[in-house]
Amino acid sequence: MEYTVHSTETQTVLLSAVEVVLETACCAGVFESREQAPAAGGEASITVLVSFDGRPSGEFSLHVPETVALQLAAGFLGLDDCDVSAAQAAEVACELANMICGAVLSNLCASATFHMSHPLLAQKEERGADCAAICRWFDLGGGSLTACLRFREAL
Amino acid sequence: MNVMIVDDSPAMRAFIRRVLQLSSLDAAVCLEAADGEEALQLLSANWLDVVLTDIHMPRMDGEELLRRMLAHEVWKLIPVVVLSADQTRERTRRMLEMGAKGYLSKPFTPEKLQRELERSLGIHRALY
Repeated sequence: MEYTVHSTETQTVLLSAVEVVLETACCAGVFESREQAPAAGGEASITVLVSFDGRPSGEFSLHVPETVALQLAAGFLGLDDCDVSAAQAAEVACELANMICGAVLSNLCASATFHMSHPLLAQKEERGADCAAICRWFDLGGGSLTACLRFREAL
Repeated sequence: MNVMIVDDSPAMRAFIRRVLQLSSLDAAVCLEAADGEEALQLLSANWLDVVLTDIHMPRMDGEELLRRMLAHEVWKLIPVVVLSADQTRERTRRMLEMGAKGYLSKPFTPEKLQRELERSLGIHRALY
């Protein structure tokens, strides 16, 4: 079950963090989409989870089709798309998730202390049933990226 | 300038190396270590002008690396700049209080890296 959380500040911070991190780290121009793009049938994708403990506690997830992950990794590493392996794409997706999560938390709660977990690759886009989620979708030309924040307690 | 990048992620080390190359800094030697222990081994065999280190790493983290460097007669002279995606302030502030010369939140542009390194090296040269 997907929860709708009305938090304009959190949505704005998440949007800004994704844009800044992708532009700075990958030289990637991103455009926000109003809704999640339908997944292409059979297309491989990468989901990264970063959990954080503090006040509030929760989880950040980044979901990208593998083609988009390869593009982002090429920009991050300064390589051509065709020179990037699937393993490198996954590793870069983990780093991007880590940086976006760090940027969001520091902007939302600058004085708070958080412990962020090491980014983990998930088998599929998982959603905790007890979580309130804020999701933003981005169009990167070659596909869509989804960034979600889930807090263990309602905002 | 001889630089060492300490980060457990090969992708992040490649990113930092690329950003260094895109800056106007003349990084003649760029060594890489996956954690504090590897960094100490490289320190014992190489002279470095600056160390760029992540905080969260397995085996030996950035804070312990800084502590070991500051306890060493020669390595304490090498400026350490902390790089972290975890932008919450407590651990970074502790490392700056311990003796780190600068801090950058990941990701950063070549211009930001250059400014921070010039500032950190400037402070370092003024002190020593």
